[in-house]
Amino acid sequence: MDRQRHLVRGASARDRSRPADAGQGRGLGRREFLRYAAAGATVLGAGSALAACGGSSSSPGPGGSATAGKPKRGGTLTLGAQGGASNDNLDAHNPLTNADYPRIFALYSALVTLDTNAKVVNVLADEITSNKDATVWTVKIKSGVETHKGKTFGAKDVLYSLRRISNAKTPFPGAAVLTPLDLQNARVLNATTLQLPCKTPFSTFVDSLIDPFCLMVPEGYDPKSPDGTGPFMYKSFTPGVRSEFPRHPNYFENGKPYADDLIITDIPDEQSQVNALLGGQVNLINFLSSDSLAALQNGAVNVVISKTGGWNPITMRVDMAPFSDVRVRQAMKLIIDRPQMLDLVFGGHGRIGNDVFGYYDPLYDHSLPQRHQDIEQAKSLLKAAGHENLTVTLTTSAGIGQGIVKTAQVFAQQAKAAGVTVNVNAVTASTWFGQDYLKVPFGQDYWFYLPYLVNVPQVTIPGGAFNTPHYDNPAYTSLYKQALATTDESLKADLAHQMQKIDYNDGGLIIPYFPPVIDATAKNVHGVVQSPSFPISNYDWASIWID
Amino acid sequence: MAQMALEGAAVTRRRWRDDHPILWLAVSRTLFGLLTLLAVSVIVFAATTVLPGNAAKAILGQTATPARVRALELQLNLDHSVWYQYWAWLTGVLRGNFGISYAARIPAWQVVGPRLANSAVLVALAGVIGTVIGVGLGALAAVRRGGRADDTLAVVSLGVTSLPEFVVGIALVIVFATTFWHVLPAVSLVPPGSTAWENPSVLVLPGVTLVIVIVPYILRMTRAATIEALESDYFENARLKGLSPRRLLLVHALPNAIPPVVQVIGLNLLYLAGGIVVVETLFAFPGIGQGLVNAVDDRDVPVIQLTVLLLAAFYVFVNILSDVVSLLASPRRRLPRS
Repeated sequence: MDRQRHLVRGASARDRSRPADAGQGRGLGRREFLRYAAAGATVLGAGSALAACGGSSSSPGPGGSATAGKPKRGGTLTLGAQGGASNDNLDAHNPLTNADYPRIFALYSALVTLDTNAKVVNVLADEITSNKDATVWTVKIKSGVETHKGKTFGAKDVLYSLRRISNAKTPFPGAAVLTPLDLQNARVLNATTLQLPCKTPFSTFVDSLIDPFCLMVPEGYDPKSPDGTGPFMYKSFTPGVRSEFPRHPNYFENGKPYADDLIITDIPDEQSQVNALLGGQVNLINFLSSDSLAALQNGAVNVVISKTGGWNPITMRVDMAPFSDVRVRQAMKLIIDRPQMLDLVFGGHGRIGNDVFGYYDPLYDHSLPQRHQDIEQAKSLLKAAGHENLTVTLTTSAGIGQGIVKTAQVFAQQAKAAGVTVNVNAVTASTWFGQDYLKVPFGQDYWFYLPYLVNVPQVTIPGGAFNTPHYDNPAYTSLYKQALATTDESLKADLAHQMQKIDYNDGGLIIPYFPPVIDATAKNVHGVVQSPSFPISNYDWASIWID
Repeated sequence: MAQMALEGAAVTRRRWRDDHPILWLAVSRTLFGLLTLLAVSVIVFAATTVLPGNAAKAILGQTATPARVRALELQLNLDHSVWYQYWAWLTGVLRGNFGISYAARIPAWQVVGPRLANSAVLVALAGVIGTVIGVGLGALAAVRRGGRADDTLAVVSLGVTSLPEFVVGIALVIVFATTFWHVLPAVSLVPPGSTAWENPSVLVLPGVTLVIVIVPYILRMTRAATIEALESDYFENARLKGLSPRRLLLVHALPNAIPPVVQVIGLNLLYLAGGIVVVETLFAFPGIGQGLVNAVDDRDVPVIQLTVLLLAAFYVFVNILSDVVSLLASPRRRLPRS
């Protein structure tokens, strides 16, 4: 019964904004991309989605497929959203539940976002450039962007947003990815240009801005009467129940959004979500498990299964026995039959992992050999470490996310072959977050996709807010600092690969798989494509239409 | 002297009790009920503080960095001692202030009130319809005992009794909302600001589910109690006097079946107040059960306290009421003892 609250945590960065990169990542807007994607698109019916996902995964991108046809204006999008509760809120910088994300992405825009191929593309930003050592950034934004209340969005609003996120008194979660910025000395150069000096080199600034906690709001923003630049505007909102957002008529992308209204209604139970869609009460549902696929495939609805870069690690504290011995950590990584685990937990959807995160990042090292189950080697490593017939407790909670407890159970089953007894201790969400998270020697966690170097400072560097493995490796940290200080892409890639080798061999995170995100829509809803991270086309509400 | 006065007092008290058995029962049970509610509030408060973590951590979840937790704790007054928190809550309640919801940051009453109204409508509707159907069918089965109608009802009610409410609910959804017909809403989405009875269609499937769950119990108890009455000597006597079958059943048999049936109806109402959680979750019905589950997840103590107190008060009230009604229906016990 625990509501699932997979929260996204953001981090800090790599520079894709340099002019050399311009043609690749930044020139192609989301709208243009979708137009290209539409050309070769397929309708993702339930059956074809399965087929698509069974295919090879040699391409790093999730592969966007949009629905063919010319988008139509009008209609109401109604999302039956999972994971909402009475602490739902609309603050752009403080999403707390899984029903908050679809709402904030409707009301507010970001400077940059991920397109359907997991490339960083501009939204409000026009150009983001830095000096050679990545210590001063210049952000130029699009001109003529209007907020819901008719203000013109400018550089001063960007600065206001960054300062609001990073305020010293009670910093919002996004502050974690912006720490190198020296916001005190930031300067508004003109209406659309902002200069941001940094306290330390910050080559990952642009990537950091895809963090979902870094959305832009106008000066004087009041979350009680929210104003923003997103495709839909605030009309009404009741936490834990429902929100109603009409179309923003002066949205900066011409012709968009297509729908007249966006209604997001909280449906806490997955079975109820499926029933509401099949019964026609809502036309989109999100965060489904593979258990619902059978019911959906029998109904006249579309199912979209995305291979995301999100990751569900099993976390081992490297500062506590028995995991302080690297041989035990390696044995744990070798115990898992990853394809079997993915089959049992997600019906084979998603993709198997290799104990390194940041899958869609160009810096992700695909040349590391895929780790396979090797019981004999695991046994000999455990024997060498003096931990034959090891017994460990894996603390977990359904509140961490979809499929988490099942993963723990499969792991316990598979570990038996190596003589390891894993006691699965599943606790409630409030117990997990109140007492166990970041403390237990052996636990689990959940992340949406972030670029590799944006994720690192939060999870594998000492002081990181979500450093579940309590990882503190001076060599690794030094490599990270070097990567932050260089704008040379090949040098940065080299440094990142060295770090990933350490994650792979020495790290305290087991990443058995990258989970799928499963959404379903009514047949007449179009434009919902596979996403690298969040459900419903990464919540790109402006591009979804109804016929 | 002193002894006589004491005896006199004892005699007076006993006499008052014996003269007004119903009033005595109602008053004494109400007083005990209030003590029960106080005990419940202490237990619930203790239980919520024994759980690890607190509302600030539960609300912030994974984003609970120490600075943010501290800020929220100060905002929610969680930095005070447990005793202080309980005392503040209790004195507030005595002044009619049920506190501010930790999660929603509005008065707890505003969180619970609309949900309470929705649940009350659902329970009342299911209770009334279920009772009418259950008593009617039970009486029918008793009159036709051994006949085909009785056999059918026995088998069907036994079958339904063995089905948990979520199975009944899902079956109804499949038939009426998703797979066969699309005539009723599968999920009870009530727009904020409006109530369940303003959207009557959302009440149908959850209501029918609850009715199906409670009818068999009432039916079987009515049948048994009516049969007992039908087989009694006075009934035989009345029948031999040549009274019409209808008069026999309505005036002579059914009234004697009331006390046990009222107890079962009371028990079913209590079941509805608690068991409604499952049905509300299944239909995403914005009621008190679903609200309680959310509040426990958020460790939202004011909302938990208010909800549990309301449910406990309902239990106490229904218990007293069913006892009083049973007494009223039993002349032998109702009249003052001589």
